[in-house]
Amino acid sequence: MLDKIASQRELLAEQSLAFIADCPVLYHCHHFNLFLDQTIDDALGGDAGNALRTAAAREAFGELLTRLSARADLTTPPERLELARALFAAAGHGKLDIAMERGGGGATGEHLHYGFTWLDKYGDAVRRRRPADAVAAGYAAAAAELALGLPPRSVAATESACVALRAPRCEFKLVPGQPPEAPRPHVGKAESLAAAGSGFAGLDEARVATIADGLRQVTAGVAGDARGLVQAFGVFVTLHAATYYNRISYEGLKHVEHQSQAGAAVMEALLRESGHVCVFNTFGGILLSPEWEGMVGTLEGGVAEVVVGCCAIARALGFGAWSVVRLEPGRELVLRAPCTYEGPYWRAREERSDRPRCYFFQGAALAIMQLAHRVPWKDRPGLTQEFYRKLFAAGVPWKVEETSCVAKGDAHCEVKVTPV
Amino acid sequence: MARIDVASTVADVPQLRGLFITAMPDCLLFGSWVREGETWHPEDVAAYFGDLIRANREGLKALGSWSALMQVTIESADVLIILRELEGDFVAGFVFSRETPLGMVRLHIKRMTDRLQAQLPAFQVQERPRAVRVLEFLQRYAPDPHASLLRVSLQTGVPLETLARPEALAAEQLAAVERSIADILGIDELHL
Amino acid sequence: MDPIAGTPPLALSREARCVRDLLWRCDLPVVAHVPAVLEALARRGFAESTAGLLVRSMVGPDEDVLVVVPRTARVEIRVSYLVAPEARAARARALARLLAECCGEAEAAT
Repeated sequence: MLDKIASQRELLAEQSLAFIADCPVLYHCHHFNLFLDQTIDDALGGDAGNALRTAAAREAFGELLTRLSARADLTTPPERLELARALFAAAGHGKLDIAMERGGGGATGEHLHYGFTWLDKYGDAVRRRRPADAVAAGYAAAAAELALGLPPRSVAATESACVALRAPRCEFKLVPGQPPEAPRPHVGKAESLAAAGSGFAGLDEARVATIADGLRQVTAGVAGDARGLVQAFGVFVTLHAATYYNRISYEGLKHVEHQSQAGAAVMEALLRESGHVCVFNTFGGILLSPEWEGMVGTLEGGVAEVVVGCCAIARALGFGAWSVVRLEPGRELVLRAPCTYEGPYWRAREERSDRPRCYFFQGAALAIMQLAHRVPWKDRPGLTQEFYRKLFAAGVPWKVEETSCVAKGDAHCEVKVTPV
Repeated sequence: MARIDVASTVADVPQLRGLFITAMPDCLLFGSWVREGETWHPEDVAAYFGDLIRANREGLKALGSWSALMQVTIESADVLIILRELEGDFVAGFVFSRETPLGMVRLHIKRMTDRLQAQLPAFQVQERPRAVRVLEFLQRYAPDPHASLLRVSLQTGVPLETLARPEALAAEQLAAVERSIADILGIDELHL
Repeated sequence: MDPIAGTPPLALSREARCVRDLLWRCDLPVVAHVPAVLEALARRGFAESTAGLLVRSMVGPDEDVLVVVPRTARVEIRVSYLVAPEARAARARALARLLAECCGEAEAAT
């Protein structure tokens, strides 16, 4: 089954965007996943946030599973459920067993990425009040719809027990026969190419491309362990649906925008922060990893070295073909991408925006400047949560502006970071 | 910061690694001494010790066993901590090397407490606005403190500029902020 | 000498990006002995799950992973996340002792 999945992986090399069965996918760490979900719940409230996240996962993974199943010519319910189980575990989301009949059913999750990592990261500090695994809930609903040939987006899923709430395992209830959610425009390779500008050869382009290729070989070998989790570079990693991230971010933001522009600005800051936390933890972890040392060499910690390395990492993870347009240490960083994984979604599903919309790209660029200037790499700094908090205690000395964005109709996406 | 002579108070106690005086109920650092080589942040330590004493008071009240000037003993892997309530609503946190015999600890604490008590001011420490204290509490315990004000603002609709001057929060805003903080910290209500 | 393994101990430290005692580092004393150390690990039940020859990953019977950089002899010890947090440091020390044993065998073989 894993071969069938692997055979459907494709890369738009010039844009550094990845797809499975024409559905956009990328790698993200648990720090990002948890923070983004939390931001959606902060914006909408716990119940509405959970509902949006579940619906987005059901839609994004429903499309992915349906296309994958069709291409692999899987026709029976057991085959399709096996595909769903295999993909979920291979992508680092954990183990999910689905038992569904036409009248209803359920699912059981073990070591689910969200619940497990929430408990690992926050469990000692705070008590959670709501289940954490909307992605698994939506995924289970989508898999059940596909397996039984039910109308897409018509199975309701609720998580009735969750390890993040100290239950021994996660349990889901699946109820068919709900009014199907209206379909949304597909976002795939064609839509991404339509949104994207052309590639740009920035600073050290050959080096960026070489490192990105090497890292892609590493990530291609990454797969879920016996429990369906992926632990790499000091973080838990998932291969995730870009449509999930984009839908929850933009629909959550639009909800807030309707209520208050000031609130929208706050949410935009938190969306940027999700990019910041991802780059600090995952990119920082990769730069210090033995894989990096073996492939690229020991990190010396020069500003350009870090920035160029981060662009290569972004490409390898499927964030877009980030290039360095301009770098003046201590003064300015300009990054450009034909498009990010965020832009094509906006172009395919929303009106042309009057402002830039690549919030992850913006936060990531800020974090890259932090990594390049404020981390004493030669001292082998501890990239811990305490260090992260310390960096913030004195404030972030940089500001970011996205000067071009495909969501606005621009030819590419570009961010500029300058001192505050 | 020290408005009392903490250094001379601890002069003849070689097993002591740190002393932190917390002013209650705001959990603010009033004075401290830290042995050379320790990398502790006295403001943080004093605030957490203050919260501990407050929780201890609540717990003892729940047991119907509360009385003034209680003492809390904490034995961790490498330190022995005694939190001692002092008159005037102060708390002294004595941090000893773990191997210090308990009898010796008690003797030193008795002596140092007498010295401290003689120096501490008699005035009643004025309590600051509740809004200030709840936001400080959030900063101390939020899992991602740098993002916590943004989260409160997004959850409540209270603008960031208003949260930056919490003493000006209206009553209904404060109530919303407290509900938000309780939600972020996963607790039912704030006991401050 | 290490009292348990009877071989010179390897200096063990937390990796810079170590969180909750999961990632540790030690450096093998002789770069040229890396292939022999990997063979010795294989004899102890470690299976190779390597993406490329620039880095070699050895997965142990208890799902701990030793990632070796042949060019520099750096070893990252990735303690299994299934190990309770309070037991992870001890597990890392045990793995470092095991590596020291393997180094001893590599030394003897040359």
